[in-house]
Amino acid sequence: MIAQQIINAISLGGVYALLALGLAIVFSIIGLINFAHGELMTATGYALLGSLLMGVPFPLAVIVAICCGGLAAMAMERVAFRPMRGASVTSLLLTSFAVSSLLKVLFQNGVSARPQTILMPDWMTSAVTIGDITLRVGPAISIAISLLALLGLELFLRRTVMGTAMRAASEDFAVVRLMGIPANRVIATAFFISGIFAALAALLWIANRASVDPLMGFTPVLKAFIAAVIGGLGSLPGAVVGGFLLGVTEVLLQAVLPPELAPYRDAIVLSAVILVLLIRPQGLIPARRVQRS
Amino acid sequence: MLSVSSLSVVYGEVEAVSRVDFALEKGQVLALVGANGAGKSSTLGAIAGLVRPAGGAIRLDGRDIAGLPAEQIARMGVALVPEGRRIFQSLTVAENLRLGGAVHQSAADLKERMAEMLDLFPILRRYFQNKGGNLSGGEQQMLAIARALMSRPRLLLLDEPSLGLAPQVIDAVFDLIEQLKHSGLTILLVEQNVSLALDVAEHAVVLANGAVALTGPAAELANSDLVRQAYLGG
Amino acid sequence: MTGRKTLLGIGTVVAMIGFNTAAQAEEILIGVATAQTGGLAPFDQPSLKGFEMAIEELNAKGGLGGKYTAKLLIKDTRTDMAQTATVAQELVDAGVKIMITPCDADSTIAASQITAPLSIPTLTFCGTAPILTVAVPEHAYGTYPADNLAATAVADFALSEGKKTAYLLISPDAAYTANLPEYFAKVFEAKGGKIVGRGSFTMGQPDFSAEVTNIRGLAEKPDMIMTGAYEPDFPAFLQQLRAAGVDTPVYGADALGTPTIRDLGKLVDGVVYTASGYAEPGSKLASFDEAFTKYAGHAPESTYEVNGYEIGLILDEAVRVADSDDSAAISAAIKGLDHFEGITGEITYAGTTGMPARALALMRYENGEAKHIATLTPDAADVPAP
Repeated sequence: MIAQQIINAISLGGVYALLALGLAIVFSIIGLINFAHGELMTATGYALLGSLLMGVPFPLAVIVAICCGGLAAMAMERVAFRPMRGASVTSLLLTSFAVSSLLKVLFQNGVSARPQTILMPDWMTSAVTIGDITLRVGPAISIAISLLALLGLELFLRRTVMGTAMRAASEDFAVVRLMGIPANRVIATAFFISGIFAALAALLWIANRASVDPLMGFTPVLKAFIAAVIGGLGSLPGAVVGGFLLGVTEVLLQAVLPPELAPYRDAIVLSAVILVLLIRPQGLIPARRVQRS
Repeated sequence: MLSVSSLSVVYGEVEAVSRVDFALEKGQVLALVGANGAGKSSTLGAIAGLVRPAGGAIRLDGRDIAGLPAEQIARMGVALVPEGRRIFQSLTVAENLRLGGAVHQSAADLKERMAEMLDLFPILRRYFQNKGGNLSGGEQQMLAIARALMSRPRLLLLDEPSLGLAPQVIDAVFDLIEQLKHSGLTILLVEQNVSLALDVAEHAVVLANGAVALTGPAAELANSDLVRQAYLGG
Repeated sequence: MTGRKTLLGIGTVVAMIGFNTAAQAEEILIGVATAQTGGLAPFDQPSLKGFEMAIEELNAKGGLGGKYTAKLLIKDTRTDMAQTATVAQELVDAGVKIMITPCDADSTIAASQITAPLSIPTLTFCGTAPILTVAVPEHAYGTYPADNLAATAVADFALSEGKKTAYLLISPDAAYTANLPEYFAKVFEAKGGKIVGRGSFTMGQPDFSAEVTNIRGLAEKPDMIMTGAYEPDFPAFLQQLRAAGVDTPVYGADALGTPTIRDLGKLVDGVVYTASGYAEPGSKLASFDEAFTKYAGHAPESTYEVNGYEIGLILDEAVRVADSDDSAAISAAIKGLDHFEGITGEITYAGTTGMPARALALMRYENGEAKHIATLTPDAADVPAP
């Protein structure tokens, strides 16, 4: 039971980490806290649903859905955020709220206000018994996917010119442009990656929830934002640490708190966040930003 | 190679650069001097594409590049070493140089240029895998120049290369500029240290309050009363 | 579409006849302050569809009480309490005589703060928390079976099946999710059942693994789990519960009677819930379903449509009894309805605080289908106080 709770905790932490990273990548480059990030998850969910309804085999539908997440993020940047380039953090934040609300209403009126059922294949929701302990496959897959995605991102950021440029852009975007690296391409790549990460998180989320609804992005994006703030807004390692920390804390509190106190779980978690920020106002692993012109 | 005509840069209500004209021949070193706030850096920013000019033309080999995005101007062979160096502190020396060479098409080209730079700046070879932020000020300035040279620019823009450096380090930086000049590189140098600038440059433009106050061969300007009184301490 | 044309045809005829007999039809404004977007939209949208259908049909027959042409002023409350109050105020200012509010006691209470002092009868689409009529003693009405009533029916049924122990999954976030399991517990314990544990969740919570692991670890295995969780939380909980290999049956109430839950297929096999009615072949509900399908172009998703429709009928009857378009008179007439024949069964307000006394259908999902298993009218003495 304890082993399972720990796996549950890491699994949720992994999903938060993916989401927080998506927020952090975009924030580190253009100073946008994208609250419409959650709607990328919703879009991914509907893409998966649509593909499955059209009879696309499951593995292919997953690939379609992930691509949709990435492309939706790029489209969002192109349509909503590019015209706002260079605006203040507050203006960008408000723009993202507007995009988020607009998409929610579009989903509600265009698809359905009602959650749509998506059932993942049986093997994803089954359990395996090893000796005395029964472990669920879902959380294990979730952890594996999160870790692979983190590893993939690390390799991309370290080994490719675009990845290096993105790290550089988080420090000083203007100078990256002076190197002849197009700003649009760096930003589009950042959005694409954040979209892919939102899509992966969405799939893990949906596997756990069995349905997709127009408002499903709200809670996760809020959690991701909290995770990103704990870690240090705009810091990628911070986002990962913040995500895991938040997920683990939530699940473990839920597991150990007596039922009378359980309703206060979110309050306890948020108090802990405030405490962290009082001690380390810039987050656990602050982002390095030299200057932004 | 570069001709700036009637260039104006405006920030809000303030006109930082006002109808500035000058030209720079291939292989020449031109110094842009003047007091703080005279409009030197804004002029460089406009040429590099970081600042959008309010008016005027900037011609690079006859083509007007005013208002083009910075990345496009960089790809046309203009490299700026920004004021304050602005190297990527969390990136290694190697990564800084790699980004400087991002415009190269082939890996071989990049490798060759990287080797040339490490020969020119042995100190960078020593700290190749160190974070840029761990380098000293002078080393960072060398890295910033090397990073700009990685793209094999036709025109190098240097913004205040002596700023904040110890005297012997400044000497090293200006020795390097001298060396680059002899290799035939076209350089536009912005420098507050007027005597150093006039020493290395062939021609100079003196800016005051955003407008051209004087222009001419560097040696002549160094002897002019105005420059002596205003910038060379008598 | 043909159905609609026929209705319109009849309407025109009736209007022409009406022109000769009743000199001029008067208009009565009905405010509809319900959520067309947000979390309540899945419940309010189908309810509104049924309500609109009823009003269209009634208007075709001369209006409410055969006399007052009903005009709907519909405004979206966006599932936001403050917005509900704002919208209610706007509608009251526009002169509405009757107010319809979202499927939620909390927002209905908010709207009632504005309508009750003006004696405007306020009917929640499918808000079921009995606390509603305690908080607003006058002029607020539910139509759907109240949670304490539904919980009593579920407890009676569970005990009759031989269930002896139950686990409660509660969320303090809404009246429904907080109170339904507790009402159940009161009846269940009073009649000899035992509650072996309680778990708590936050609505919209991503992960139920901790609760599920706690349930698996219970010293005494429960015979059933009772919850007020609904979509999207309910599918998430159930998915994770079953994935963990726990096959304890899960019971709930009306909020589980939706296509989303049904579409979960074999995952929801054995889930028991309540409905305000069950469409037996040949029943009034079955013919309503048919008429609705023609009207809306799709079959009813749940019993929320018929509930919306029944609200139209209740208003029609109340206006007829009141023989007036006066808000207070209509409200008094609703309060006096006794064994009013609706579509799903008889509805009685006389002697209640505003939540109706009525029969409930108990349903169970089997092989992806909702099967009717019992119809119960709980003994009023068993129903816990709100």
